[in-house]
Amino acid sequence: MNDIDPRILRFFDHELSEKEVRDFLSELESNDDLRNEFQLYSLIIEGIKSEGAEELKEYIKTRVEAETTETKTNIWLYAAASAAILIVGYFAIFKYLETGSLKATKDYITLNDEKANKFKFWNKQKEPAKLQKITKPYSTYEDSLRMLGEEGELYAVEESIDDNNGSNYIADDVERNVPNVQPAETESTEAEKSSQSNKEILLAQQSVVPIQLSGLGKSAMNPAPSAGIEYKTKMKSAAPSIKKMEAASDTISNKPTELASRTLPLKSSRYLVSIFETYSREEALIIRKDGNLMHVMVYNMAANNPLLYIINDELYLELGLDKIYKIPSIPQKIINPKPISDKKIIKLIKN
Amino acid sequence: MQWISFTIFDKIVFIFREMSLGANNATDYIQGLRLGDRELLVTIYKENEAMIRKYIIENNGSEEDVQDLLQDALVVVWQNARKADFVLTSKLSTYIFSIVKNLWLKQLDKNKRLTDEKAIPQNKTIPQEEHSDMDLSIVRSYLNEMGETCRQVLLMFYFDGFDMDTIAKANHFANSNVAKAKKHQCLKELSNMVKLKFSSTDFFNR
Repeated sequence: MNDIDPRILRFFDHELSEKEVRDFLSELESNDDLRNEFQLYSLIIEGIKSEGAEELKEYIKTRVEAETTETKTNIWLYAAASAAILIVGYFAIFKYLETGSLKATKDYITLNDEKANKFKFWNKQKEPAKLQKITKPYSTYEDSLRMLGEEGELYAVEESIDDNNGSNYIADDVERNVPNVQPAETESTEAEKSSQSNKEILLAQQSVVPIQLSGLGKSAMNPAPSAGIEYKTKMKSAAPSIKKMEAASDTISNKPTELASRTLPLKSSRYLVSIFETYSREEALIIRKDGNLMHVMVYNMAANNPLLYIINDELYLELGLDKIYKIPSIPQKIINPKPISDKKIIKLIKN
Repeated sequence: MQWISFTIFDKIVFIFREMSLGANNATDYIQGLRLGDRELLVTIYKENEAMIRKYIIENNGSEEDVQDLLQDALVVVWQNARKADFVLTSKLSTYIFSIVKNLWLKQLDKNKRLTDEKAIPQNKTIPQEEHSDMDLSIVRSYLNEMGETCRQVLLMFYFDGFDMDTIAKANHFANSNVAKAKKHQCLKELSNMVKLKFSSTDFFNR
């Protein structure tokens, strides 16, 4: 490659004098090589200027677009802010005109008034679970299972009238203080109906006030049950037998079930004793607690007038001569319960 | 040309606009442009955009034409601002408007000429200017292949019109002589690349 003619560069750099320019241009017309060289550099310099112009235009375009986008975003922000201010202002003025109180208006705007509480979802606490009423027919078997961990609001006895055996059992007294006991039809299966051993009969249900005993003799408290035995028809339940209940639990004969550490407060406000008979003839005691009601269910133990005693904060059930049982303080089932042998207590109760 | 209308109302608006942009403002702008402040071009663009848009749209132009013409006008202002003999005798917006008007008229004439050429088919000849655009794009591609320093030096000298002292400072050269030597070296390098692309026969026989 030959070196560039210096006149060409000086021409494009505007360094030639007027005379030199005239001489150069006249030579271009006659000198083909110089003209070709001049055209080449003219093209190159024009290309450089073209590149510079495009670059500058691209810069302007990019910057203008960026500022336009920013302006549009700002316009929307201003619009949103203005709308928010108008809304808040509207409610503030509305509340002030309504109440005439600046404090009430301030509380209203800052969501500190009572009406705003229902919108504060973040302040809502979990509502305590409501106890559901028992709607299905009562089953002593299920009730016994439920006894281990649940507390029902209603206390109901499932009962069904066996049309094939229509004789009624009439209790001596009428219970007035027991929870609502509603007869209900039992949805018995054919298998249950055929199995007589599965049926149980509620003979009597009695609200009992325990007799407080201390020292040498009986206290001067209520000496007798405050309420009588409720009238009961012959009720045959389709509930499973006690054996089934036994199988359903780990209860061992005459030993308290190892339940969770749920202990019953001994002094409940109400005590209920129910007398059942089953065809299995197996003796059992079931103790359960419903709220402030302690329910003692006696199975196949032939008692007409059960009495409860509280001795040294311990509860005892008397079902007749030499049939005194200690009632544990926790809900459980006792199969084939054995009467107490503590002569002091027997003597205290008999006296 | 009757279709380029400039109503009395437009003139009134234009005069008020001129009054709002004082002469000192224009002098400051030119001074800033001489120092190489490109951001001023963005400001000038936005200040004159509405006026130019109104003129172009009213004279059968499109939004794209508005942007192109205004950008071209600002390139002219950018290059002229650095010329030693450049003196702004009017308001900057007036100057920009006159540039846009001239560019727009040129473009309309060019479009009209192209339409006439289509209407009357002539011998198949490639327009010289179109061919030159292709050559320019080749030169630009080679320029972009060069090192960044060479590219900057050539652009600053031939497009921006900065003097050698400014180029030397901007590129951290020792002095203006070094900058001048570098510019000469870079131009020669670019010319060699272009010569390789265009064989001497092809190029010189255009």
